[in-house]
Amino acid sequence: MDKTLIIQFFLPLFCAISFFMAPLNGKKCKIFSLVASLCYLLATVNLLNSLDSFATLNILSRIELDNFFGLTYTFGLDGLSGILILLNALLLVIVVTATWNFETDKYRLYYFSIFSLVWAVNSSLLSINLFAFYIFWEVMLIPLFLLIGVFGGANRKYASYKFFIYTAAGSILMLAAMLYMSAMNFQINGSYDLTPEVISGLNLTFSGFFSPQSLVFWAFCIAFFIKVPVFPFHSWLPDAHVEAPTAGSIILAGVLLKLGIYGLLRFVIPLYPDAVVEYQQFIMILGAMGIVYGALTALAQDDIKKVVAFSSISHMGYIVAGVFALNRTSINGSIFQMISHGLTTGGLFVAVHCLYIRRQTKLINQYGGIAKVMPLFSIFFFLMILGSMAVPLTNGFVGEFLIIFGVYEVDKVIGFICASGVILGPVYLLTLFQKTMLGPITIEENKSLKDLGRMEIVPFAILGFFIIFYGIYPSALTDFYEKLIPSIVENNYIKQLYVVLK
Amino acid sequence: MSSTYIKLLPFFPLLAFVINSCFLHTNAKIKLAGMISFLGTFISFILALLIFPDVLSSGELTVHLWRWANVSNYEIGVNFMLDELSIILLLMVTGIGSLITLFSIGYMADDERPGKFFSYLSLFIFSMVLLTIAENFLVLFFGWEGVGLCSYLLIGFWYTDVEKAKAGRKAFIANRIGDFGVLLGMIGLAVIFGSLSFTDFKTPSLNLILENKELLAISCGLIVLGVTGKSAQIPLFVWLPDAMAGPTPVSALIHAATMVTAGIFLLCRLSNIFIHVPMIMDVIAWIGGITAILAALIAITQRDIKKVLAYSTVSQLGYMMLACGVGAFSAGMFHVFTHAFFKGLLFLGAGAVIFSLHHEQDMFKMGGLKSKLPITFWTFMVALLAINGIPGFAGFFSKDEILWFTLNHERFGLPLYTIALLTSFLTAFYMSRLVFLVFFAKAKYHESSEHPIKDGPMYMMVPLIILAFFSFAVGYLGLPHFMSHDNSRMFQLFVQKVVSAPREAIYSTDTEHLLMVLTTLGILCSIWLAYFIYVTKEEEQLAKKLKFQLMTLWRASFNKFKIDEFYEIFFLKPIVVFSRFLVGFVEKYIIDGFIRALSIVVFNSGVFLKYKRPDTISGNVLYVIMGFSIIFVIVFSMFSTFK
Amino acid sequence: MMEIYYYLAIFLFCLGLLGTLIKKDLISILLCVELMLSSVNLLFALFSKAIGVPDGQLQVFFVIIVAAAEAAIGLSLIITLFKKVKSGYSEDVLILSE
Repeated sequence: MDKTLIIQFFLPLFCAISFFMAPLNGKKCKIFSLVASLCYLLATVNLLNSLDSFATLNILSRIELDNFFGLTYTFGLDGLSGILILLNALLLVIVVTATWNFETDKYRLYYFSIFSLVWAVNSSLLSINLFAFYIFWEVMLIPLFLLIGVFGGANRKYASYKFFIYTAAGSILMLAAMLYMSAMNFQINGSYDLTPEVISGLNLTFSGFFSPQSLVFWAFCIAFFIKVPVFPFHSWLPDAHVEAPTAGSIILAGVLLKLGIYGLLRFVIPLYPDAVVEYQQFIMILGAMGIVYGALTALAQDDIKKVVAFSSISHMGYIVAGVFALNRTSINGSIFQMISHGLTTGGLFVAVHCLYIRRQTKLINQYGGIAKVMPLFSIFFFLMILGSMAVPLTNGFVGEFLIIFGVYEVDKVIGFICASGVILGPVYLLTLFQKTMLGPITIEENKSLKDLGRMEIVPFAILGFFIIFYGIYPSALTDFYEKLIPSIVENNYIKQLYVVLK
Repeated sequence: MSSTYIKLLPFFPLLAFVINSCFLHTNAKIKLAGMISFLGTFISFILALLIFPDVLSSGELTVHLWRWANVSNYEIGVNFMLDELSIILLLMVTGIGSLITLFSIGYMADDERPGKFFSYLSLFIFSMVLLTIAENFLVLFFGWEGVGLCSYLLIGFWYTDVEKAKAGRKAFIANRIGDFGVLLGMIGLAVIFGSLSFTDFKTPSLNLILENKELLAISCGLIVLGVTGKSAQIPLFVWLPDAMAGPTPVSALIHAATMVTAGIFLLCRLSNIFIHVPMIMDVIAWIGGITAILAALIAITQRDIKKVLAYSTVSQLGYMMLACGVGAFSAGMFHVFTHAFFKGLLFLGAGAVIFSLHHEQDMFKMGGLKSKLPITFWTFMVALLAINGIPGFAGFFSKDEILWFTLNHERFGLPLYTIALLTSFLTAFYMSRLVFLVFFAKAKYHESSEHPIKDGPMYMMVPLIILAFFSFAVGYLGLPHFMSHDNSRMFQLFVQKVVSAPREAIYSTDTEHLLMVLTTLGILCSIWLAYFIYVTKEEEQLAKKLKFQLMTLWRASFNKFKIDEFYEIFFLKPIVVFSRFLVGFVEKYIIDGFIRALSIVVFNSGVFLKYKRPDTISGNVLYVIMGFSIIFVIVFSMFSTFK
Repeated sequence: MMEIYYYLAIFLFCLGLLGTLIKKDLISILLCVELMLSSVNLLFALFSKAIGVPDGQLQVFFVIIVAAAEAAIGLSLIITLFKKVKSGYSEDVLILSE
């Protein structure tokens, strides 16, 4: 195997395990994890540099396990997964610096969970083989379950169980579909292996809802939809976010949700073109509904983290609508929006953390007029809100603009609904900002809050820099994956032409 | 050389913003912060002046900065363009912007966070410059939203007052509704024409227009929605009066001189496309006309000096919309130009009055300031003559032009002309009322010795004087034909290189002259009427008696025709109620309820399988043995079959 | 002729099994476990003689050693348990229940 790959792949795992090996106390844990996360970021950049090209899938290593059902264990990377891995590494650094002042007596378990979570997610991004992807997909639920269940808020048991079982239930459907296709592959080719090439080679037939391709498509889709989350399957997200500690929230929103979209882009859209074209409009409507629903429910919430959670649902609605528009521009925008959402929502959660550390509460009515006593914080908080509202010159705008552009080209009405998110976004975000930051200070304790400390500025500065930089110069990001997009949708274009010609 | 200047144009205000926000944020040295902002804007003004000769001689200048994104099969770049239209707006924005920055140094003297104020001001100028020099629709949209954001920041500047913060939010959201329209309209145009560049929109292909008539109409309609948001027309004008919560220089800059004119600017940019959709043009004209007269009717009864000026702005913007709607884009642009000067002067003058009276804004508590504030008074008079349209001052030429082209409109000429004419009489009336109440009437304020009432510092007076001069002089750039043959309509012809020219007139020039004279007479009558009511018959309380007689009308006008309340009941409250319903009922019982029901079913289906775990050792051993035997039997049978 | 040892071993095993389930004395339960173990030991020796391969008889020695070690551990566990519950009867050992 490639040396860069070995380092990059196993580093977080080693760090995670080492937390239990060495008897580190709190301070040493923190410093070690900071150093480790920075090293991991460097290793990831190194790995990306060593790739030949971003437009095609670079197979980095391939282990054949012939005796074990003929499976192969393939590691591969291209522009799409490369960007996501980079985002994860960056968010790891952000998480470590942002929760520097998180008080607990179980530091080792905390950092173990964080590192193993990032390891599991990145491993599933690296795997091409569907079974390996599935294994890591399930594995990453466990550290998050630990994070929410051990370090969370008052209702954490309910939230962590709900999250785990809901997501796992969807994944079981995906496993069933995978086993079915693997058995089919065995009958045809003699091996149980399952990779995207194998699946497209299977030529599943499509003839209505109960045909093989359609059922497999829906099985995969429901698993990914629960993860993303798409509108009807979202009820685990608010509870999980409210009860999770900040690290859990940032990684959940910034990393895990993207995995659902990645799965859609890699394993669903290129491989089941008939089903995708058939159900395209229905799913775009679900996405559009998610945008409006997320925004409207965020308006009436009384807990800051719930507002951000529903804003996540709203943003992911954009991404889903963009992906299923099958339009090059909108898929470009969706991938960009994935990254920018990770950055801006991560920033919002860091801001919530700053408030929570000071006042131990996340209720909106406990705040008010904070901008007077914490001016630097209010600037950074406002910057994150600008990114979330998709104001031009921030990275949030690029993704939304491209998505609305593409969706409008495909279907005008759904384009209208998606664009209405432009109006609804500021409604709940500015209301949140006003109720917490502006106005007179009504609660006594708020008058003596201290502004940001040195360590707290670091994550804000990093995120703020990227938010503005990618807003001004989005080519820096789109260059990674732009050439990939045609290969994702070409099967669908052929099918669409076929449908139109019929 | 010019291309370097163009690239540097937005740089200096941005630099001023960065310096002010990073280094002078908490510092209270207002003069330093103010001068940095002033220099940022002024340098851009100088650069614009240097570029002007090039534009004059060679027309359009474009500059490409970097690639932004790939859309469909073409590329959107960050490109700047300076042509005749944008150089005018740029000079106006940077020029008036620097004057207002100078004024603010005097006005905001006792504020505790002046650095923050000037950093926002510089950011605003930066966004506006970006909007003006944009070569394609996307860069314009950057500036468009940027000014919306800055207006939010500046209106809600004194955010410790909840009402002011809410006013900022209202402005932003009303603008965002407009932005929804602009965004979709922009995308629609891109889909039709395959490009977002204004150079392509100046000469659109007729084939494409004929093929996509419906989409074009929808897109243009959406863009009009955006323009009504930014330029405060019906239905989205409600943010402008509330925006008076911000400091007065902010009102001068944003709402008189620059931001609200962005909408008209956009219409002029797209004029060559809009002329192919006559239905939308009619809509624009009617929106402009009705807004103009509605706002004028509200302005007649207001007490707050800034509110009168706010509604006056809405009304004048209605004029500009009307001009664009009837096809006289260059006339609209000319009125934008003159209006910037005299409205900016009016707002700054009002600011000077408010400053001198220590933040008193109710006109009925002022009076007799003619002798106390001489410079303010005389500059205010120049502005008054300009806005009333007295011949010789700037407003006369531009307003007259608009009235003339309205009359000559082929379908709705006469009704729109009547509306516009009535509006101009009303404008004269309420503006004169304002001046008479503030400067001429009997003094009603209390002057104390430690706060003497006198003209403000030099920082405030110099801009007033400069603006007064231009309010007088600028009109001569667009003289009608009969006054000067050589230099007639210089401004309009210059702009028409970019913008579509108006149609030929229906009526003769003699009619034009006659109407000019009649309108002037009518305006003089209105001024005299205001004088009669508010100054001469003051002791006899004529104003109060009239108010009593026309109580219902007066109340309708004073309460702004209850439009805000209408929006509140029919739009805002339902959304809030609906979202509460979603959270309390749909989310809790339907979506989450489904999951919880599922979990209860699964849980209870396992109940009958429960057994009591044995608590003795032997009980456990028994279960081990039972389990093992079962496994043994299964494995044994498997192996025997494999044999 | 050899079958009789086979039936003896099975009989001893069942005896031991029943004993572990029925007996109440902790040490008696341990004795019955040892009985099960030795019955299997007998089976090893028996099958080694029946097939003619000496490996089974070697295995017997291993089993004896392991049984001795296991008995030692079992007895010390019982003593520790006795110290905790102060009774040598299994019905008083309720640590496993709720």
